[in-house]
Amino acid sequence: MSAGRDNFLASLRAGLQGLPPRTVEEVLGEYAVHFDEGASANRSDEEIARALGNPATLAEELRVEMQIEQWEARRTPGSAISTIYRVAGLGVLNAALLFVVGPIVVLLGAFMLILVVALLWASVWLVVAADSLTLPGGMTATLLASAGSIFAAISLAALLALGVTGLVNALARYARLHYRHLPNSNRQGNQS
Amino acid sequence: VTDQLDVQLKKGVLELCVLQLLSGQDHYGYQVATRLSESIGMSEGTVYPLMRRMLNDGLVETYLVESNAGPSRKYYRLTEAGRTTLRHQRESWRSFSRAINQILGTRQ
Repeated sequence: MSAGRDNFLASLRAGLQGLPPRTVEEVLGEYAVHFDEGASANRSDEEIARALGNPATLAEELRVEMQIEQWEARRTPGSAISTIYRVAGLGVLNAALLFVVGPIVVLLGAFMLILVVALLWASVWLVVAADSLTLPGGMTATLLASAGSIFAAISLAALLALGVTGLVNALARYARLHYRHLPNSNRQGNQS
Repeated sequence: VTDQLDVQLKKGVLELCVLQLLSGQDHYGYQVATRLSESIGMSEGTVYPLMRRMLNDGLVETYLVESNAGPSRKYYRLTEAGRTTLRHQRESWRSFSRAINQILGTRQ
């Protein structure tokens, strides 16, 4: 045991905080084995730690990777939000994307969501208020209109879900291409 | 700027290099990390997240081998999907590098 090894593993553990304990142990175990293997190849712990790179950045990358895994396994709205949040936190998205396109996309999504709710509400209202409305075409026309708005709401919601799925997939691909951790080097050793 | 290009290029071919390495024979994590670090100069730490992803994508699979000294080693081997991906990526790399070499006017 030495400072190089202990510091590396401690920073990695700190960076992985909040993930399931089993996953954290699994990841730390892998790096601990790496140190053991390096030691039997006569490398010093400091040297191994340097070659491994910055543990904080590494932890960040691992977290994004795990979030993407989770998203790919279960495409729930909650998981979509966490993925967007994680990728945004990675700091690889450029400012224009984050502050111009981001809000536009969010507004568009919110608008569609409101439209879905409004259509659903309209369909209920049409039936409830049918008596007092006396629309041309009578009850049949009112029911048809009501059903029409339900289907419009469903298709709009489906479109929204497709859009969000596509967006998160694109973000995941983008994040994987832009992990900052790759370069090996001394340049990177002392940033934190 | 050269640095930036360097990093982007390496990122692009990282997976291809791992696939190629494993197509020869199975390797354990430490070996993959040090070999790639030696040959293309990437940080050794990056290999583990990459292997994790390739495992998830079904390109590789793992098995444990007891070692005489120390803990058992986790070996990686290519799956059928991994071999197919390797073939495609080699193909892409060949045509890409040929095109770039032509542009640069290098002949080999």
